[in-house]
Amino acid sequence: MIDRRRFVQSVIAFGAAAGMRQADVLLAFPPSAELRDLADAALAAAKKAGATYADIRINRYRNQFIFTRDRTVQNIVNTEDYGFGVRVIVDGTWGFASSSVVTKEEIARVAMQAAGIARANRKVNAEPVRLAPVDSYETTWNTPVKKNPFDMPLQPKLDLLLHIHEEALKVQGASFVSASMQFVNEQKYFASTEGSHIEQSLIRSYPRFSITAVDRASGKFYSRNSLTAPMGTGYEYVESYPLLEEARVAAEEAVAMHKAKPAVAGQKTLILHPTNLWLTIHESVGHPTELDRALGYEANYAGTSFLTTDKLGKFQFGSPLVTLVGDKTQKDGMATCGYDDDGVKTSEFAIIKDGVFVDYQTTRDQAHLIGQKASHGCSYADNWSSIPFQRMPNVSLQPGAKDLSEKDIIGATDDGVLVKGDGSYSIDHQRYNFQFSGQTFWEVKNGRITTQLRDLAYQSNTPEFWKSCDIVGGRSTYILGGAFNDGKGQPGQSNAVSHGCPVARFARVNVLNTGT
Amino acid sequence: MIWTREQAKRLTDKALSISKADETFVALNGGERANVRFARNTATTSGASSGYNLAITAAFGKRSGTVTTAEFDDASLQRAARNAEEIAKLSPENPEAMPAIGPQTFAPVKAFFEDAATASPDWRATSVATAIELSKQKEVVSAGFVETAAQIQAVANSKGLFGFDQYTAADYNLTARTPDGSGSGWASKSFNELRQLDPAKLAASAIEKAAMSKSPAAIEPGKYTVVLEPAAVADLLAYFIFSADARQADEGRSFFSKKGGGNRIGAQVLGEKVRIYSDPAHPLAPSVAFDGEGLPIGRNIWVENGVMKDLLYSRFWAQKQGKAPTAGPSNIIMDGGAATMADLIAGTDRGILVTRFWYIRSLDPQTILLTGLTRDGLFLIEKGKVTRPLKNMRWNDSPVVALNNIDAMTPAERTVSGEGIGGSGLALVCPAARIREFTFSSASEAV
Repeated sequence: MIDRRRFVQSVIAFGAAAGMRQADVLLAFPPSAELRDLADAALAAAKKAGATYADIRINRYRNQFIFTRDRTVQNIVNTEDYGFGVRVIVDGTWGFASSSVVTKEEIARVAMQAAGIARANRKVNAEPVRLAPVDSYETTWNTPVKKNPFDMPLQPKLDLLLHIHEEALKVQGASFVSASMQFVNEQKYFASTEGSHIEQSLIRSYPRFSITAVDRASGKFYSRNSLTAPMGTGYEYVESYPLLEEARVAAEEAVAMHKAKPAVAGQKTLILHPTNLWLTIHESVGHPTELDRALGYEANYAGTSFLTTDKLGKFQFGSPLVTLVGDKTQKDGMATCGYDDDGVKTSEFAIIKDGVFVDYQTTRDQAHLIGQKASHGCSYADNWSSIPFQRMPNVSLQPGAKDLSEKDIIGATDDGVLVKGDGSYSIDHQRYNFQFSGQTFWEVKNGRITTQLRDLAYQSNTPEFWKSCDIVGGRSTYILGGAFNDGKGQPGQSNAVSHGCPVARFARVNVLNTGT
Repeated sequence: MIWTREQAKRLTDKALSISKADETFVALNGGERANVRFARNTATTSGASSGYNLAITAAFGKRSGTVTTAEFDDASLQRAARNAEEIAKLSPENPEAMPAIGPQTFAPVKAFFEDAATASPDWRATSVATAIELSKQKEVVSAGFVETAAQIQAVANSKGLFGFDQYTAADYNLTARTPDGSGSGWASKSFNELRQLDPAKLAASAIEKAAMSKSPAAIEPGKYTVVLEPAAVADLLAYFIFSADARQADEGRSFFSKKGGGNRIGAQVLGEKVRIYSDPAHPLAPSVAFDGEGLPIGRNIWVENGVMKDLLYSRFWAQKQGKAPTAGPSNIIMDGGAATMADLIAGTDRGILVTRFWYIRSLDPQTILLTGLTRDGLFLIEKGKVTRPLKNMRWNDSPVVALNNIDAMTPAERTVSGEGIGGSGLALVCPAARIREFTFSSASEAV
């Protein structure tokens, strides 16, 4: 699920979490030799404490967050966090401990603490941990970026954000604008008793805005958010996205919403733009195909899955047009990296093939539970202080064989609705019943867009929805959506993930009017 | 042991002393926490973490920049301070920037309890063993989570402000499911004090509910009288308060906006029985006495007899509107009534008993229309008795409507909502309630 923003006033007042450094004061990640020394100390201490397996992650997290509102720069925040976590298996039981004091002494203490925790829990562990085999790697991997956002000066970022306000506020009726940029850098050093030493640097970038049009007379207001997505790439995404053009269009659409036709409830043909469909994929395909959910590991929080293990390889999940892959190697993907937090090399694998459910997302300690010999590399921890567990890779709908355009699909539709952008979203804890809204809605009649609609949400059931998919657009319509806040686990952890998809059409979907 | 007041002050003093900005504000947060997860009637992962983070905000006039660091040696602090100053100088003036506040007086709080701060790995493992043993005896499969935490928060600035609080939390929650997957029950509690947490009682409650909810039947969606357990009321309460920002209201983009301009302070927005307030000294939800900006959090009434008494004012918006800024809040309390849970059920001719909600999201901020689902125990009430388990449903409704339609309540209790709100970050106290005409919009097969 995607976490709702928590109610923490101070976060807003304070500027939310984020961080950046100008290049000249960049805190260098310690050189590998030093990290290797620290990591090896942890592994040795863990072994001495009785661990049959151990790994350490020594991680630094940098964020930058710039928030502007109504022509003012409200906050610029750089955050930095540094620490390590040691994970051990003692007598078949996991133990984990972590600290922000990165010294050899503290590492030895924390390794002992992790072993102690494993021993304490041995009495309540009925399933000794078994790890799928893994190769060992001595390597580095970095997100390929053209422009590292942390090396970029602040001024062009501020200028661009404030320019968005000007463009939007040129539109009569546009009342309020907020615009922000967020940049993330995860610097990760992983070492394990399997012999791996892996250094990675991941970068993610996210520009966005929201425009609100208030009509004081009627007391009504509508907002239109940008259709940008967070991406596993550099500042080049910010520069290549037509933010200013879209700000103008978004303002016009927010204003037009006041006079738009209210959506009519009933069964409709839906044409879902990738800026909307990515979130539906996340919730209805990404989550139910997580093996830990299917096995009950998440029963107390995120929930279980209707895709139980008996359905593997047989269940007709969607129409034959529907193929979805898990892929942590996908270009610009938020979950893209070289190696997961188990030290497994990442790869692409089919999850739904020609409509049939064929595989789960897996980790080293759970692959054997469905008879698999290797992990798909889906282990991730969101911080040095967090325990790695199964997290979603980029899960993407493959484009159709024929390169159908958005226009082709609209042209083939007599009576339907086109939905763009992600809005409200909610799905049950086994991932059957869902309800999604969007940013803008467009009536389609006789192969043409006729008018803008408002107050629409669609409600369906996962297999029914995917079986109703009757047109999948071509490669030229394929784009990535994504989120920083894919939430799961206790304590809660956030996973950054992307979902690519083409424009796609779904027949007879239940549409609601959410207005008053 | 977590940091003491003296340790925190030493660091904040040092950070302030190296700053070259006109005004500097620092905030220190962190502490220790440890947890165990279990699922499939066995422990799965467990961990402990210790860590602190310092945020430094440097300001030159109306320009400011913030940098956080987790490393507190001289060189790291110098780097962080210089970086914050550099950002501040590069930043354009923010006309909404507020000057630093001076020293404040904070009411003493008792949110820290030694027993939670010193809970051992063995205590946590034993609390898990209790649930697993009971689950095996009753032939259900349980998953759950126990966590104990001791945390600090400190703020200081160059005008002499200093605040320091310690607080603890002990959380326990679990979901019990029948082996055939047709029944599920849940229980969750969070307290500042470990001795108030009763894992065996929570386990028994979740397990009993799993058995009761086995093999549910569907019911037609529509409007029903509902008896909401406190965990379900808590989410409606939290979402109502989350929407109560004064600026949004005054700008015409909130339920709390008045048509034509202004806001709805003074208007009857909820039923007359409803009173909602915050108070860090509340005995059921002791919580920190100052917020992230260093403003003292006092007792503040949001709703009295259903009338909106206040909204959340930031320092800037408060100054602009001639109001007092709203600190925090660190807890939300909704008063209850005198009925028992049995009374609420007995007084229902036909209705639905709801254990908790799940995956609540906003659909329309103009009316605070929300959508969400029921989970882990939904039951039909007929002629004052719980008669059978029901399949889960999606609901589309507004807390404004629901909190207007309350006709009876139990006394308020410390509550964790179905969405997990109610721990140490924002403690919640609320009752169970019987509510008329709650709208369910579709069926869900999920158990």
